[in-house]
Amino acid sequence: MDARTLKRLLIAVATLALLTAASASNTLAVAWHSEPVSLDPHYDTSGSIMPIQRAIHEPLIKLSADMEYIPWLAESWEQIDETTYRFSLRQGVTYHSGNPFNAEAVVAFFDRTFDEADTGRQRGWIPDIIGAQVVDEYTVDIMSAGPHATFLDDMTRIHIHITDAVLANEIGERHGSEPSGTGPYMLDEWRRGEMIRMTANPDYWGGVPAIETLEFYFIPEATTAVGALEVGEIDIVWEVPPHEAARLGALPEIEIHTASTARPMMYHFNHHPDHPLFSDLAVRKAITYAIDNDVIADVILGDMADPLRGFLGSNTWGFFEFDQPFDPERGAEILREAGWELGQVGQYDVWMKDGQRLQFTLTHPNFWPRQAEVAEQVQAQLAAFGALVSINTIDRALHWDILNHIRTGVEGVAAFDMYFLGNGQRTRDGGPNLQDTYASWGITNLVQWNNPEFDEYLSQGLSPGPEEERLAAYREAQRLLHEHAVAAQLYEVNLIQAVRSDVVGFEAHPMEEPFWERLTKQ
Amino acid sequence: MGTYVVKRVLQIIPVLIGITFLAFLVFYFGPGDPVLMILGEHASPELIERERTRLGLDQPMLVQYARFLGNLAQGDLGISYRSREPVTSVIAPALRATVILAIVTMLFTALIGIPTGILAATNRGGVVDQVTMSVTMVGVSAPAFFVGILLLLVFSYQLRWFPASGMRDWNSVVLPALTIALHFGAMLARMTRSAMLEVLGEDYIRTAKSKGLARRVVEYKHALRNAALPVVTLLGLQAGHVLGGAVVAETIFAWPGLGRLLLNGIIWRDAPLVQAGVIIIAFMFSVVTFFVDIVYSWLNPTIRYG
Amino acid sequence: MPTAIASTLILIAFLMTAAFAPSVAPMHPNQGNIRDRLQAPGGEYRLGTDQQGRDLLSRVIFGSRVALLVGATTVLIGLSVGGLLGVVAGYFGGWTDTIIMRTMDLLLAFPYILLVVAIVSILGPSLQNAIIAIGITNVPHFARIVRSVVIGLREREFVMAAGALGASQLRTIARHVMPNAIAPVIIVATLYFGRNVIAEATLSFLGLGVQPPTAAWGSMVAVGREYLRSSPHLSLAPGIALMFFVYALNTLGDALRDVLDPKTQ
Repeated sequence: MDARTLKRLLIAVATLALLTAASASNTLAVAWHSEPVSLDPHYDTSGSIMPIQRAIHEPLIKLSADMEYIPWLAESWEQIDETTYRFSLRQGVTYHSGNPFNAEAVVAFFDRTFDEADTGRQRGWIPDIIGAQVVDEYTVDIMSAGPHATFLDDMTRIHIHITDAVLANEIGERHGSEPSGTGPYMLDEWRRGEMIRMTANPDYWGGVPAIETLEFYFIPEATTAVGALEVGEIDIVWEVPPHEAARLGALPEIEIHTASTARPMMYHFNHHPDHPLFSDLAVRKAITYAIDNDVIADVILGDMADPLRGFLGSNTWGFFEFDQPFDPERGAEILREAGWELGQVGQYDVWMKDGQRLQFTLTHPNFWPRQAEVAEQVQAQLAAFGALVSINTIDRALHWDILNHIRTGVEGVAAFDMYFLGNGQRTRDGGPNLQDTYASWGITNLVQWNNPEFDEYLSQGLSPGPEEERLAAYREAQRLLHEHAVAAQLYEVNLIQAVRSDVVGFEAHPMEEPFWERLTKQ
Repeated sequence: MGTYVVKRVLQIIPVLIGITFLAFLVFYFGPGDPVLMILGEHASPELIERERTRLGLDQPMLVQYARFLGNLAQGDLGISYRSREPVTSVIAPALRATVILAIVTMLFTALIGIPTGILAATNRGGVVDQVTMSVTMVGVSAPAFFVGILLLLVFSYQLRWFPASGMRDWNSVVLPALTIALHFGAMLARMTRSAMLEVLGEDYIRTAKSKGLARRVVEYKHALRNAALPVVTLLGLQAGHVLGGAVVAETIFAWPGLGRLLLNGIIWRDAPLVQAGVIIIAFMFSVVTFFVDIVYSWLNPTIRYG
Repeated sequence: MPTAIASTLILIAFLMTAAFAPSVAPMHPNQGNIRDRLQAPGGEYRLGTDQQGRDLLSRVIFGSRVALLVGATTVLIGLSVGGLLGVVAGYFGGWTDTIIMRTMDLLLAFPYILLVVAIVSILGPSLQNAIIAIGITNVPHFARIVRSVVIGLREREFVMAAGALGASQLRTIARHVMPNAIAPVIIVATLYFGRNVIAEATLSFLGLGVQPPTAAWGSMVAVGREYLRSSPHLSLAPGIALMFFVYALNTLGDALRDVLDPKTQ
């Protein structure tokens, strides 16, 4: 390589790099752990990127941080019969494409969502809704299959956005990279693997947002994201590791915001009737006594978690406290009563009964934050109690395999003993959570728990009726979960977010509802 | 030269077929179902079946592979399962990022490695030689992720000289490139030194010296040119490696390159994406080898290609 | 050769530490007190404690076992499989040679770390699978070396002579491959030993390595990077051990090359 070519190369590199540089004063840069697959929520409903979608797309109703309904694209609503709600839509709203937002647009959205021939994912989050009907230009009826107590909560789910279905039907999957919504920001540029840039929607119905340019940077390493925040490359880190929170919070230029999400994390037992260990209630009970979830939540996870005291997040409507205390002596007592004895395996004391050891695997999907440290601590606690535990970390693909294996009704014991699972459906009402994970028909009932009594109480709770009765039914359902030791409680997740102090108007939200249009920068 | 190029291109075809078949086998026999990951937790079994049929995943193994080859022959690399876009448009930006990173990395590598190696060789056995050899051995021995994290801490967080992540400014490339170049440069320095020592020991250099040419001229003109062969080979190999995806440096510095893209492709069982990526990498590898050959013939005109 | 002697001594020290880890380590590597987590070096725990409240020094000491195990087994896989393929390719030549060596080229053309990741994501993350995956990536390098030795031998006089005497050529080659291949193989083996230990660490960094609670340097550095700002010793202690170990190996490999391959000296 001679000097001239070298020089040319250098110039080329510098030019390329300069082209990629962006520095506008009225820009807000947000660090995100993962990247959307598609900016059409029809195809991507992964919870972790929903707040990004919310900059472009909007729902009919939002939830405020204190869990009140906020009329959004719908100005008001009323229930007209057991299965139908009538929504009055906001007028004068247009999609980024120029298409009008009206009753027809809403119907087009629901038609597209419920098109069985299509691989759309949004309908999975509103399984009880069946469709919509135009009443007049700005009035629309939305119907559920049967009486449905959580109808309005379904509309607030962060996975549901009234997308520009008319446009999407025209341009098909291209809508994923050229999305059109009613939201405060419009997609400007998407550099795959790197960042998404959006610009303020000049015609936004709520007024032009103060921040002109909104940028999302995809930074997989938490250490890197936090560092970028400290040096001012980034204004907001959406999820901060707990041990960094205290240090960052002490810095004058950074503020820490936290919100309790409604997501409970648990180790679920395999409830297949043939499971060699966990078909025995005594064993399940004993293990719940052996896990000290205060240590996990307070010592390891710090601000990121609170100990779980029931089977739902404590801020969820319908939560009742059913605590599993840490009491290894009580656990040992239960095992002894059931005929187990402590024996010696190598250098460890292990419970044994009829030649069988208390030995099993913790299966861990690797996409939950800080799961490895939690697993290791639980492993250590159980080892101290007398259970030999190995950890099996699985990736997303295997997680789906297991889920599908069970869902399609393959006979036999599924390929796990205890499964690390967080059931966060993100509704104000806890009923849908309980349904998906524990109802015999629940779509994510990985654990194969099947209890007719529970199903009955849950159905009562999910039916419209006086709130006290619904709550009482939820309470009974959760009492059963507790009695049968369906899972070992761990913690409920708090969202920790770090924001530079010159950003005004930021509020952490339990459902991660973002309100990008409210932000300003000093 | 023309026929040589054609031959080279033809040679890579069986390699491509082999490598794509290898990748295909990995996905075919490995666990994980791309359809489940595309459709998510709420998909009905019927929909799953239909999607599987649409993607041709219900076909026998060899039929699937033959179809892939058929499309490839027509220049169609396929549609990414995950993003539903042509894989070429998914890979293009990552390829650009990777090429930028590779160019800067190799520049750094050469700037670090060659002068250091020459310095050590010309001071053979002296303090300078011993120090540089020890230091470069540390460079060779240090894991890239360790070096990367240290660079991040010192030059980004503490000194704030360079950005920590992404491709935001012109100097974003410095730290990820340096992470790789410190390791590569150390290897190159050692290689340069031993190559120099080898040629310096040979007869014609001694002859040249005895003819009274200035010492420096002897060293640079003769020695460097002959020592350059193994050095160029190593540089080519290293360039091939960065072009193949520098997963670690890309992960630490959120550099949107090919390595991270393909790593995610593997995690998401996005077979078309990984297949295409692997083809592109193999192709770039051949291009680099080709350039190395050209440099070879320029350095040593006795090497001819027919 | 003072550096070679020094590095041999360092390696012997590592070996002894690994062999007698339970008596050398002050505490149990996997049992800790979570309330003592993230303690700084000094005091009760000489190198401090990790995120689970375990004694870091003990874990670094026990980590040497994993490093030696990974290094030795991966090189063994590469050497045995690669060596066999090399002998076959070199001896038979022709189509056999072409098929074997093109397959080896293929493995080389596949980006090394992606290959390892792909293999591990199929087999599932565990120490054993990491070893298999890394071992496979070593196969082509050993195959090439052994093949070139065999081809060299085939043309030597004593092999031809043996053939004339009626002894089977293959047996002769088999007898002579060992002594002739040993020098280049040892050089490559020492270099790859270190490289493979780093590869295992890199897998852990990407979340695909050793499963807890096993103490391995790579996964210790990887976990520690999250705590780098507040408790840097978590990463630094195993990281420095890893570097020291690989440094000693590489230095030894270099020295061996100087001795065994006189051309470079």
